Amino acid sequence: METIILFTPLVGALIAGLTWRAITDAGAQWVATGFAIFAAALAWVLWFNFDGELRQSYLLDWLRSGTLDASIALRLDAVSVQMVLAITNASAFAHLFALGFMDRDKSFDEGLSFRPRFFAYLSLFTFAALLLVVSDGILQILLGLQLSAVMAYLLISFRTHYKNANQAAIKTFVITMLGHGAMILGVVELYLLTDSVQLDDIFNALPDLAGEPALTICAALLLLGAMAASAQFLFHVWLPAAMEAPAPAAALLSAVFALMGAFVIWRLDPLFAEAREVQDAMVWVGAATALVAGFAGAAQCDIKRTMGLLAIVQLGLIFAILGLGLGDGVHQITHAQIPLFIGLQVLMVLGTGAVTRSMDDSRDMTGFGGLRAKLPIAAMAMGLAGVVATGFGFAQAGLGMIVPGPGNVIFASAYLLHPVVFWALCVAAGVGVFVIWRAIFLCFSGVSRAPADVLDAVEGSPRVMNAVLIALSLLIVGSILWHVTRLSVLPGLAGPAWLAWLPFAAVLAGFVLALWVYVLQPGLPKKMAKAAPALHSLLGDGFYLDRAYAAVIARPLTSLGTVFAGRIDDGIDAPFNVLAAKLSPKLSEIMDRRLGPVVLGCAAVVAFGLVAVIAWTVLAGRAA
Amino acid sequence: MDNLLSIIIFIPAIAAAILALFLRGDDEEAHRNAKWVAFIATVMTFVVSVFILFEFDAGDPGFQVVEEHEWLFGVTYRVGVDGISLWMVLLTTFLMPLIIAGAWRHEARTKGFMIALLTLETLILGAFLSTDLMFFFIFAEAAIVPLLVVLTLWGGDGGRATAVKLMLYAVPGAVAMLLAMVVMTFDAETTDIEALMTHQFSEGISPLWMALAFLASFAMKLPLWPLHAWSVGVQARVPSAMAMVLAALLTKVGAYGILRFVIPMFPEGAAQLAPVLMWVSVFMILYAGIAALASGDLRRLIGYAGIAHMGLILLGVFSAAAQGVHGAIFMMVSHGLAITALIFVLVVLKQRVKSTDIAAFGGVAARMPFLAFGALIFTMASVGVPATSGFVGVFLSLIGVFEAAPVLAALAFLGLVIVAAALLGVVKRVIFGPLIKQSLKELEDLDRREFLCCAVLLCAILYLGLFPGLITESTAATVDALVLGYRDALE
Repeated sequence: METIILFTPLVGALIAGLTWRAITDAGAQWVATGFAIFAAALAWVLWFNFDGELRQSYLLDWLRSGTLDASIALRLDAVSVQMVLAITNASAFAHLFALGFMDRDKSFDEGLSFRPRFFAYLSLFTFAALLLVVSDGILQILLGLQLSAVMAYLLISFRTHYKNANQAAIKTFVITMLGHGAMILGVVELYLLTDSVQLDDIFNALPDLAGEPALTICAALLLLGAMAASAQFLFHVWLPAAMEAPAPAAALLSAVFALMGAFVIWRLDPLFAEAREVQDAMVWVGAATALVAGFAGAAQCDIKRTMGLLAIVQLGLIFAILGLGLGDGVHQITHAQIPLFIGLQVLMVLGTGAVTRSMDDSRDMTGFGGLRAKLPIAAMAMGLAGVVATGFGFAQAGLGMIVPGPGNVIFASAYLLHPVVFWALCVAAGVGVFVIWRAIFLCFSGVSRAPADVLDAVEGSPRVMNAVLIALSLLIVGSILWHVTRLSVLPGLAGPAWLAWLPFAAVLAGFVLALWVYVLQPGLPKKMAKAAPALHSLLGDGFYLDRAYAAVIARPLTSLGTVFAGRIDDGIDAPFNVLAAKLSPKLSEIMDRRLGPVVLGCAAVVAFGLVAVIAWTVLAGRAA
Repeated sequence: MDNLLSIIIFIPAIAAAILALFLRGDDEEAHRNAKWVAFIATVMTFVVSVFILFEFDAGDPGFQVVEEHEWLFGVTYRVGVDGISLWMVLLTTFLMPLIIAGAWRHEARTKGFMIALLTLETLILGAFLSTDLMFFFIFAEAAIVPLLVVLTLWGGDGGRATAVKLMLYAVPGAVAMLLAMVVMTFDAETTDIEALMTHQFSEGISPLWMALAFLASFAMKLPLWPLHAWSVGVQARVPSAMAMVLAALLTKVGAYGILRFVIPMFPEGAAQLAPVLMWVSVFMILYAGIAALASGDLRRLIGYAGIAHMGLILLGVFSAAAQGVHGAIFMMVSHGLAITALIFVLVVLKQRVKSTDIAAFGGVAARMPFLAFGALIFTMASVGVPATSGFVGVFLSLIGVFEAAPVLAALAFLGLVIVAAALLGVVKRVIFGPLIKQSLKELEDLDRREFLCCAVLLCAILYLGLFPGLITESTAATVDALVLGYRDALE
């Protein structure tokens, strides 16, 4: 069944992308969506019937050279079944949402229908992501990663006439490719150490490699790759930019594509468990990422970028969890947290899509307000996302990770690693919640800040979009309740009682602050921005990282390129040119241009002479 | 077939002779006939060359399908094929019909141009298949001649001076290699490459100097930094079909030569040079990648991207590890396909817009979706995205290089990322973005011939990406023997 699930989106993509002229534009969209829903339905069947036993099925031989034997095979265990379920469902929702969302997309103004292409890309992306999560070998993981990066490139640049779309697509592709490079080197190192690229062989070889510096290097390289793939600190600039993709694609990119780095770490958990230093670094990286993205989100006015930054905050927290490496306890949390992250992120980005679509593609939240009356379902969905993220009423959920109480093992163990990490995570979770509620309040609460004519023109969302938002909300609530009843109480860690309560207090503070600043004192944000313009601009511009990269890397490289292609190459070529210029007229006397055919003839005669002599030799058959 | 390889080598030459002797006139019909003769001949060459696969034993590391005939002056005509040359030959015969079909709209003195292309194919095939020192030299060095002729006749105003310049680059290397070959022949008393590979040269012959002499010739063809400076300019000057042959095939003669002569015959010299050359290769990848970033012209961009990839190939070759060499050979094939495809995209655009200036384009995808799709896949293939042929070569090479020097592997990949940034940046400026320029609003997408060429290249790139075993399995024995011999010689 897993093979059918894997290939269903691919078949859908091929039919939609290649035969849309025959089956019509609408037919292609429904075919792709139908296949995505079918895959999601099968994933539910798979999940219900999965007995927890590892299952591997071979698909085809791929790359063989010497001892390297990378075959494409599917690996089904608790991790991959959960990911398959989350990804196929997210994809089905995104496809369905796109049916409504894309119906008046501005990309389609030129009388040419690009919708089937968009649906094909969505389905292909789903295929690539599935290929990754069911990988049985590390090279197949790379295959899935890079294929999904290509699809991300195509989805982000889909609205090709948008100014930033192409730039964002390149930025995403190049940064993630850098990460893939690090990962490839890590994989090579791992192969040289274990003589295999299949997961079982690698895991079996680990006990003998424990403590080897090479293993640490390998884990560090893989971490570096995962950081780039999951938009972690210093690599994170691609994700807010990638939100240029149309909302259904942006939802999948921020929820699924950006998660893949973290997934690789999750998948290779036994390996990272042998490299404690790298795991510690992972926690620090996660904390720094969440903190930086959280503060950048707190001053971001573009609602889509805000959602991108929010995804980064959550990914930072997920990295921290993974890095804390607490064995089975963490696995339980990861099993709950990662699908929840996918669901929440998809819900928020689709909700955002409903808002921007109604506001004529405007994304500046400071110009919104009071949209709850026009978009009640979107308001409800985003509100639910906020509630879940804050952790209200739900155990084991939210950015606070765990409800207050002795079970808050994540934050407590972060404290044991280093108090600074603990505080950073607390603040990041609080700021993250602030950012969510800020967006919700700016969009839906109070009175509209948009001009009257714009507000009048605001239309509600098509029914299919609303239905998706409702269904996804219900699914999230259901899955949280399911997890609540299933998760056993985690072991508490020794430490002061406030350790367990503070994360919850932090997220609560984030909510209260947002409520106070954007609902109770709506004039305050402007005053604050005026009072500290430099800080506001620093945060709003994402700590100027994009500009710094342009100034330190992109521009100098281009200038250097001009020097290489111009001065240096010309310099090397110059003496040859001078000599050639001197010789050329002399040769020209002998070989005037009019004699060209003669020259050609001579060359031909030489060639044919050779041919004739050899042919004679061969045909004469005087074998030596 | 007793003379299979000779038939493959000389079908193009015979077609060239037919064109030269029997085709008269300079009208449209004559041009069309010239193209058809060339096309049919190259297709025939390809079809015949596929028969090698049936006769080829993947488990045999040595030369196969061998022909030996005594020739004039005591020289023996020897041809044969092994795991390394097999794919170079198939690459050449596979690409030539596509190149000729791609250049179908070439109109200036078509007959002469087709003769030059066909002659060049014979010479390149001869170089790959010769198992005799003397014949290799003749074929490999004579391959420059059609290029010089094309530069002179089709190279525009400065074409002749450029041809002279090219000669200045080529001749010293050729002389050095010839001298080395003479020394080898006197020492071993044979010109048989297979015998020379196992021959112990006298102590007076310095392996380092011999390796350098061969490199002097191959460096120009690769082209190896700093002898690369001619290539971008020449590629931009010659007609696109010749640029394809140059970038996809002629460069491979250089890389092939290193695998055929320098590493097996002078392992000590190669080992001494390897660290330096690996650094030079990495520098070359970064250098060409960065230069590509600043290129404002499509032809120059593709030229630099090609140089960067040749750097990667060289890196794999000099890693002298089995997977590194496997990767290099795979990359030679993959690069040949990808660079031909990229130049093909360029040809299509140039024919429609009459310019290769990047600034002259923008938003082409809106009018040419098929071309846009092709351009994107070809770009992905050339930057090594998995499921395209590019990945396999890059990955295998990196295994070899990482084993020898991890830092170099990291820097090489960084260079590849820079190339990706340059290529995607140009895809963005040319293919994507808003279609504003009035001149581009009437563009027509690929016609049937162009679509077919594109589709064939696309299929080849994807097929090799998904089923690389086709190449890796048939090269394994030869490469393993090569690497083993190299390692043994150094111990």
